[in-house]
This record gives sequence, structure tokens and C-alpha cells, in this order.
Amino acid sequence: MLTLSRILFFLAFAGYLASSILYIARLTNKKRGAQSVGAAVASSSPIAVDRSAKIAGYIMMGSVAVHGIAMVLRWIASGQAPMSNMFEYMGLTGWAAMLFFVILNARYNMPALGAFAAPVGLIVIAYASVFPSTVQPLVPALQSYWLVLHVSVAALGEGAFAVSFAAGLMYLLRIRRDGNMSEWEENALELVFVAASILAGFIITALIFRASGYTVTVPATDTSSEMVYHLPPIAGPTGSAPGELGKWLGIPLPLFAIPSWMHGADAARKFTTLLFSLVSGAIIYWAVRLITRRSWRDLAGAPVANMDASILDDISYRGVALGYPLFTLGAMIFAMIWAQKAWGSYWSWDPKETWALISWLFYSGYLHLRIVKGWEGKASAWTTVIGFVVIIFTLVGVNLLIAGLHSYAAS
Amino acid sequence: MADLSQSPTAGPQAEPETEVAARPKGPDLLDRTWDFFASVPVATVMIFCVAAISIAGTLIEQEGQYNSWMPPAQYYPDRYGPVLGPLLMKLGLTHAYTSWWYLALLGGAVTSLVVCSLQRGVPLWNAIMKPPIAPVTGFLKHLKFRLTYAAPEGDGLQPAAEALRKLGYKVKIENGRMLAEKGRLNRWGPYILHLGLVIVALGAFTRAIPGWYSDTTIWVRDGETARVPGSTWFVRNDKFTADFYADGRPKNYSTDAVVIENGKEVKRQTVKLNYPLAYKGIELYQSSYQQSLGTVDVVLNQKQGDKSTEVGRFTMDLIQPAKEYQVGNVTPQVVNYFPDFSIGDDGQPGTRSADPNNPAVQFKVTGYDKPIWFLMNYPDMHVDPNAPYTFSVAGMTTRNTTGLRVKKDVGQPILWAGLVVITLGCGITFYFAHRRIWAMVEGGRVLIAGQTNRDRMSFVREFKKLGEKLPGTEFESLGG
Repeated sequence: MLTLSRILFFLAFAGYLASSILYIARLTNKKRGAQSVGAAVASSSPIAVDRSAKIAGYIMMGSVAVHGIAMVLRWIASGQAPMSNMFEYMGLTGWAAMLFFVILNARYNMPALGAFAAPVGLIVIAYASVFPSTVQPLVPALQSYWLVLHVSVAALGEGAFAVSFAAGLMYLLRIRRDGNMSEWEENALELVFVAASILAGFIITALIFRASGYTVTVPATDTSSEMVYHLPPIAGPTGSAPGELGKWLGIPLPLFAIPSWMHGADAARKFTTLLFSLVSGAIIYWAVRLITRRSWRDLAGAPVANMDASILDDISYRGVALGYPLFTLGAMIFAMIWAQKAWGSYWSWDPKETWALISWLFYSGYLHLRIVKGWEGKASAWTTVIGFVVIIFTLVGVNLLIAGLHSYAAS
Repeated sequence: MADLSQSPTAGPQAEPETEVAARPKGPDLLDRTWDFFASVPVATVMIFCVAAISIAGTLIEQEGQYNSWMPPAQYYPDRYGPVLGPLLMKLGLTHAYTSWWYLALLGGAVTSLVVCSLQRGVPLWNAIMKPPIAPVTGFLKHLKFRLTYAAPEGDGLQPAAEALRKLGYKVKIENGRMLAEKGRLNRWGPYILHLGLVIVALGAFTRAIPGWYSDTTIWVRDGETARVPGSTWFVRNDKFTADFYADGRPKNYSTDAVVIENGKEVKRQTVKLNYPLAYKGIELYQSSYQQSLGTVDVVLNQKQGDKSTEVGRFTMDLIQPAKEYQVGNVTPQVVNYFPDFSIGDDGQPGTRSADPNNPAVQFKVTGYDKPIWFLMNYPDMHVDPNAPYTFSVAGMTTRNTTGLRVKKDVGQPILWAGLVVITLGCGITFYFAHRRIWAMVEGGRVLIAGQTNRDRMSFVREFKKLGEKLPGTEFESLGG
């Protein structure tokens, strides 16, 4: 049954991918039509365009259903809720993002949103598949039904925030056409795509090396414990000599040892991963830029050029309005109740807890700004974009950079 | 604070009444302080400040959370350097969440929350609770949802009233004018949410009340009983269990605990993670454990020249050793027992703790005047080479000590109640909408005009549905 679950997960992933491509292709086709025949003609032939939107929508819905079944099967097969490690958790968050896209699309009938929301969900799920998908029995702290309540509701909230982010980003790309963005904002917008390239670079390199079964084990030394690299160990632990771990594509391994101020568990391995992500991200980013001879924000901005900015603004707000109560319940209230039961303290300023609070405060601030005049539109859209960065840091960054009571979530 | 629930695309909510901000009269300073806390931008800045400082607290290792034995005064200069380390400590960033400025900021945020809610809640109460049934016609004509239908003979408002009641509206008719309303509670959602936050803050604040809060850890060896601090009862640890999976990760930590009050067993429960034991307002949580030596099998040897022969064996309890042991016909007496042996500053033997980490015994054996040392962790060390007997270790058993966190938090129910209120407030704010529909007869037709404060999409559907049920409907505007 676990195998069937994996197959369904893969099918769903393929479906998300196909749907994302269709959504994006649909917009680029529409743009071409507008260029060659003129805007008036293009808008009078929406039938073909709508058909591909419909197909993409059905594939998306089917994939969400298949992914849902895959998670249920995993639950049944393993006898424990599939929410206890990074693979399971990020998969659930990605699923939630797709689910909210389907819901909002059904309500607003806005397939163009799919060209942005679907890739965001896709990246989250691809990120999940970087982590080992083996079922691990639960450590005592996780043996509680609060695991399901806390994690699933929080993930739903985060999924809604992801859709809000996608709509906010589209809004910014849309209004930059009107030329009221500063140089600084233009650069920040490009930075979002640089970050996405780095994330994509991380996912792709990690998946390639994992598929090829690459591992290098660095034996324990006086100053560091044994480390297993799944990427070529470019950065070795402090005190290691260049070349002592062999070669990769003619590059001596390690190329250098990390300085001693980088302490912390697995610092050298994490630094290697960071280097690979940066380099492969830069390759992806520049490849697209050089081939198309356009900036990413220009490329991504073209398909949204004719969209109604106020609707994008509304969807972005809707995402937060849907997600905020879920996040409050799942990530704050259920978390406090569970912490009280497991650790005897509903609040202990654990980094993960604190970052959940920071995210919550951030979106609370957003909701208050929203009602103050002048905070609709651009400023509001930027806030949803930054808010999602905070959410991503809470989910991923805290585990990678700051340890704490949630340390089991790092694997 | 203000009405969060407004639909962003609908623009500023049109109200038939003018909302005049109520402000208590008072001295100028009080006035200005009130205005400061009543400002939504100020409140929002405070929220973002709390978030920003919280970030600093997660990036700088906090006292009590860092992984080192060093005291803070030594740790921080070592970790962050001789300049930055003491500076961080002086600023309070090494205990950010209990520093006075963090607490002051939190206090400011809560004050602002209360003031903002009062400032806007009181006038809103009047506006919402007594909506005018007959606003001026101009107001109705400016609403974004309008339709007209052919007024039937007699009471022209009747078909609309009937249809709206079926859609779940509360309908009021007076002097030929009609007001139908639904989801009024939604307008109170943000205030309920804020009330919940205040209750949570109060619940957390009760920790400061003497006697309301305590947090200690007790260590209980297997089979032993300990008094639970701050209570009149005792807890006995029948057995602590630690299980592991094949890969070494923990599977289960649990303590078979028995509550004893006035010498009687009153409650039995296996305390484990996620399953605390609660008794008379105090909770016991499985928090940690230690493994230490329990008993040791001692071999008594008799020396004859270079040869050493075994006289016999006995088992010694390292927590409470017997006064003497019978081995064959030899009776070693325990003269001194040091469970955690060390030589003190005065050069005299002593014990560091009551835990058998480094057990040492002085035995007196009949026929030899001097006591014979037996250092169990160093069995080859014979202090007195002339002693006729030696002791050695044949085996040891371990004994678990469970670490139970003893928690008393009288204010907890207040906090839980606050969380329930927050959940309700959130749901009401974000998943309900306040809708009002007015109607008046004008000539041979009835004008219906409505508004919603959020979720325009489903109001469009509802308004269309309403139109379909009425005779000769003409839609004038559908939210556009």
C-alpha cells in the first residue's frame, strides 16, 4: 500500500506539473495572439484559451484528489498520520496550497492565477520530495492526536498564504506596467525570482544526486562527528585538508575547509548544500535571462499585463482572510494546547514557536494595515509577499539554522 | 481595533448613520495618550516591533536555552566576543522575552488593543444595534446592490419580506419601510477576537500572583516515594521505562506513578509524554530521566601471601546499604559510605551528592583494626596493602530515576477560555458577513437596496436569487 501511495504521489506531482505548464502556456499563447492579431481579436476568441484553462483546472482537481488519496493510503499503511517529517509536512502544505487555488479559482474563475499559484505549490511539493520518504516511527513527543490537528490546520493556513503570495506577486507584476514602481522595488521583485531559482536549484541538484545514489562519508574527527554528504563535499569540516576526500569532475574534495567560527552541527555539509544551491540557482537564473534576453520580472509580467489589478488585490487579501483563522487555530492555539500537554508549558519561547508568533503578528499587522486608507494595492501586495517569506523561514529556515524543541522536524 | 471585516474592493463602507468617535473628556495629556493608543497605525507599528524584537530573540541564543554548562557571564563573551557579548547582556537581548522593554512593548500593544476596541466599539454598538429602518432615499440609491419589482396590490413589501425570511434574514417593517438583516454578529468578530487576546494576556499574567504558579522538577528513583512540592500529597515511582526503536530513536518514556495522600493510594497512572498526571490542581509531566547504579554484587577475597581466595559474595544496595553483610563466616560492617566519593578541600573524604555516581565504602572486618577502603569505580586501588581482605565487583544493576516536571498554573483555565474566545472571534470575523437590505415603495414599484461588509461574491448570488423570487424584477446594480 505504501508503494501505491508513492505511485499516486508521483502521479499527482506529474499532474501538478502538467497543469502548471498548461496554465503558463495558455497565457503565453494568449499573449502571442494579442501581438499578431491585435488585442481586440484576441479577446474575441477566448474559446480555445478557455478550453486549455478548463483542462488544466480538471488536471489540477484530479491531482489534488489523487494526492489526497496518496496521503490517506500512507496514513493507513503506516498507522500514523503522515505529518511527522519534512517530506510529509511539506507535501501536505503544497497540497493545501493547490486545494486553496482550486477553491479560489472555482469562486473567482481566474485561471491566470494558476500560472503562478500552481508553480508555487509545485515547488513546495518538489521541495518535499528532496527529503527521505521512508516512514519513521514516531518519537514519544509526537505520539498524540494533536499532531494531526496542529499540523494539518497549520498547513491549510500556510497553503492559503501561498496562494495569497502568488496573487500578491501577480499584482506587483501587473502594476509595474503602469510605471509606478521605484528602482528599489523593481530589484526586490527580481530578487523574488532569484530566490525561486536558488530554491529550484537546490531541489534539482538534490534530486539528481539522490537519484544517482551519491554519498561521501567523512569520518569523525576530534572536533566533528561523522558526516554523510549526499552532494560532493566541496566544503569540508574545519581542519580537513583539500583533496583528502577524492575528486569530483576533477575538483579536489574538499575544495576548502570551513572556518572555525562556523560551528554547529553539520555546518560543513549545510554550507556545501548552500553553495550547490547558489551555483545551480545562478545557472538557472542566468540561462533563462540570457536565452530570452529579458529580466524574469519582464517575462513573468507579460502574461498578467491585461489582468484586472483590483481582482488580484482582492484574491491576495482573500488568501490571508482564509488562511489567518486557520493559521491562528492550527499554528498558535492547537500548538499551545499540545505544548502544554507534551512539555508542561504552553509557551516556552522555542525558536519555532516564536517564529510562528512572528508570522502571526506579521499577518495581524497586514490585516490592520489593510483597513487603513492607502494600504490597499502595492503596499498590501508587498506585505503578502514578505509574509510568505516569513512563513517559509518559519517552516524551513528555523529547522536549518536554529535548532530547538522542533528539531525532529529537520529530517 | 477598527472593522477588519470590510471588503477591500467595496471601498469604504457606506453607513447610513454618521459614526462620531466617542472620546472621554479629560485633561489634555490623558486625551493625547488616549489618542496615541487609539490609533491603528500606532497599534500596527507596535505589532511589527514585537515581531522584530522576537526575531532578535531567536537569532541570539537565550539564557537557559544555549547548549553549554557555562554561566551567562562567561558564555556570552565566549560566544559573541568581549565587546558584543556583554553588550547583548546589558541590553537584555540574552533574555529578550523577559526584558523590561519587551514586556513594556507587549503591555503597550495590549493597551492599544483595548483602547482601539473601545474607541471604535462604542460608536459601532450604537450604529449597529439601532439601524434606521427608513434612511433617506438618497442613501438607498447610492448602495451598490439595487433592484426594483412591481408592487402587488395591498402590501407591496410583503413578497420581499417573505423571500428574505426564507433566505434567513430578520425582517422589520414599519410605516411602509422595510429593513432585513443577517449576520450582524460579524461586526463584533474583531472585538470578540480582541477580547480573547486580552483574556489570554490576563491568563498568562496570573503567573505573577503569589501562589498561583510554580514550576519545579523532582527526581524519583524506581520504587521510591517523593513529596510533591507545593502539595499535600506524594508520588511513588513504581517503574520508569525507556524504550527505543531499532535505529536508536526513542520510542517511549514513561513512569508508572502512584499518588499517595494521607498514606493511601488515591490514583495510579502511567505518566508519559503527552499524558500528564493531574491531581488537585497540580500536573506531573514526564520530563527526563537518569540512569544510575542500583545494586552491586561484591566479592570478598581473603589474601594469604600472594594468593587471594574468594570467601563469598553479597549484594549491596547503593542507595541504602545494610549495616553489615554476612559472607560465609565473615561479617563486613559498613563503617562509612560515600555514594559520590570525593576528597574535600580539607583533605577529608566526603560525598558530592546522594547519587551513587562514584560509590566508596569503608568496611570493618573482624580481626583487622583498620577500616578497609573499597572504591567501586577503581577496584584495583587498594589503599591499605596490608589489609587481609580485598573487595571486588562481580556485577552491577542499574536503577532509573525519573524526572517529573511539577507544574501548578492556576490561571491556565483563563488562558484556555481566552483561546476559545479567539477561535470564535476569528471564525465570526472571517467566515460570516453582515448584510442589510432596505426596501421602500416608490410609485408602483418597490426599491430594494442592500449592502454587505464582506464576501461580495456570495451576496451577488443571494441578491440574484432574491430577484428571481419577486414579480417583475429589474436589477439596477449588482455590486458593480
